[in-house]
Amino acid sequence: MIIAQGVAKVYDNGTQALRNINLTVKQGEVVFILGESGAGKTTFLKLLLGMEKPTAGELIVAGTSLIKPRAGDIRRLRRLTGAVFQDFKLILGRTARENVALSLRILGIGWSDNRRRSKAALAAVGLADKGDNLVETLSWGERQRVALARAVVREPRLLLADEPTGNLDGASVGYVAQMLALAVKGGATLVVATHDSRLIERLPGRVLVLEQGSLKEAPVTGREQAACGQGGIE
Amino acid sequence: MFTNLGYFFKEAWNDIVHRPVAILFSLISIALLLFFTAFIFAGGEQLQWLVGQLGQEAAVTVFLQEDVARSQRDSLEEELQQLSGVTTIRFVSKEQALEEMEDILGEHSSELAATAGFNPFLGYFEVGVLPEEGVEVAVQAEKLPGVDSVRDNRQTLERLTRLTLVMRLGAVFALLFVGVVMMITISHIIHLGLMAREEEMEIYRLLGAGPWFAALPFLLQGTLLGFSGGLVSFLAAVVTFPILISKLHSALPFLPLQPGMGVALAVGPVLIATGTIFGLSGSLLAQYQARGK
Ligand SMILES: Nc1ncnc2c1ncn2[C@@H]1O[C@H](COP(=O)(O)OP(=O)(O)O)[C@@H](O)[C@H]1O
Ligand SMILES: [Mg+2]
Repeated sequence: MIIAQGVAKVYDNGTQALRNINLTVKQGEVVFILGESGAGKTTFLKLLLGMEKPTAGELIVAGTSLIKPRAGDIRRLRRLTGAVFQDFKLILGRTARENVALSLRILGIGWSDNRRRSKAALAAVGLADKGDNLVETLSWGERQRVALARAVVREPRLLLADEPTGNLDGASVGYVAQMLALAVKGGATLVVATHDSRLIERLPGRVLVLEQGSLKEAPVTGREQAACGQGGIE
Repeated sequence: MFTNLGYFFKEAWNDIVHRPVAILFSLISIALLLFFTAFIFAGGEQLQWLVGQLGQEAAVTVFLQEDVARSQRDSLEEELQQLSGVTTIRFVSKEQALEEMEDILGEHSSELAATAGFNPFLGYFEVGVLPEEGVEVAVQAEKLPGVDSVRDNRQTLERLTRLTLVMRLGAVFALLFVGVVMMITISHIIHLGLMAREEEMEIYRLLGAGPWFAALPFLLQGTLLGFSGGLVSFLAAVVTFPILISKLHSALPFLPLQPGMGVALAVGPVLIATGTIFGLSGSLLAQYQARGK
């Protein structure tokens, strides 16, 4: 699903966000990317979605090379991807359900199917009664779950989540973990940028660590380390 | 794409509801612009109609001198009959001429004749001709004895036809001008709409939407705006033209005028088509500008 070879990203202002990333993720695999703030997690996810282009190396996602992609290829990739952005990227002035429904509408899914699935997705993240609320009236934690519902509702083949539990309390983390697990069960490949041990504990997967732009397969102790690190903060 | 058609209309409508004042103002200015061109078109329509009316009766009017004797008149009639291309001949005496004019002009003219105290008209032959031989008949008739003057309505017709063409051309230019102004107005208002939603459209793209997904509601909106402008100006014409033309008719009763409703109905499709076409191109222009960035 994802093949990265020697991928690097240098931003226009000279910041080297990623260096020499080598990674292969198989279809259906679950990958956690840990790392301190500024380590390059968001940048890596942006590369996977074609929002930024690698400045070196080769990157292939879902069979599409993202070095010199065509607009149509990126569109195709994004349609089979569900993404939870760190800043949510919900449309203000619309209700939670409209935001979720948009995700399916772009895929061309008909009105009644769309309505049913959007409702179900919102219910699954514990927002059944908030569907008609405007996004800007929701709390950050609620918005984050709307964003997750929007990503998962399309039953994506690739699910990217950038700190999807960043604003959530314990109960909500449960919803998120369940949703992610469900998507994986449905065949999705999952890449999650997080440093939330509560999530890692609930979802079996491979744990990688980004450190100043370099990716390392976490040692056997990586999981516990991450968990400990997180535990220390709490 | 077609599963989403209802949604696209809804989005277009949402945006209109979102900024009703701006949309209303542009609608009014478009309708006004189109309404003014409607006048030029109506002028051309009227002339065309006049030409049609006059053309049906290709005729040469042969006026007799003041004091032509009955016998001379009869021989003149015979000679006119001989000319090739002549189909009918009708004699109208001085007295009949006065009466006819009174019929056409109505009450006002009998006052005019009364004050004049004498009959200012000449007797004349109204000679029906084959349209293509009208000029030749006129030339020949002028040479006959006892003829005062000849009026060939073909000349008038030709002049009117030329005027009609000029009018039409003017109308087309006016329409193009108005079209371009309209296009700029609409592209501006659509552009504002697009700008206000730039962030939203970026999100559409991140979710894998093609360029048309975000653009179509705005194309619909611009087209709808142009169409409504055309419709409003058409309705304005339907209301005002009959009034204006009946006013004009009572001021110039001898001028054959097409009824106002007929003119409005003839101009209507042009207004609506122009509105729609330039509405669509205006919103396409806005898309094009937006994408250039
Ligand atoms: N658009 C950008 N332009 C320049 N530098 C950027 C941009 N986005 C991120 N960076 C920099 O790249 C590095 C990695 O950032 P990011 O990928 O957001 O890290 P993380 O998500 O792990 O916190 C940071 O030093 C950040 O300042
Ligand atoms: Mg980040």
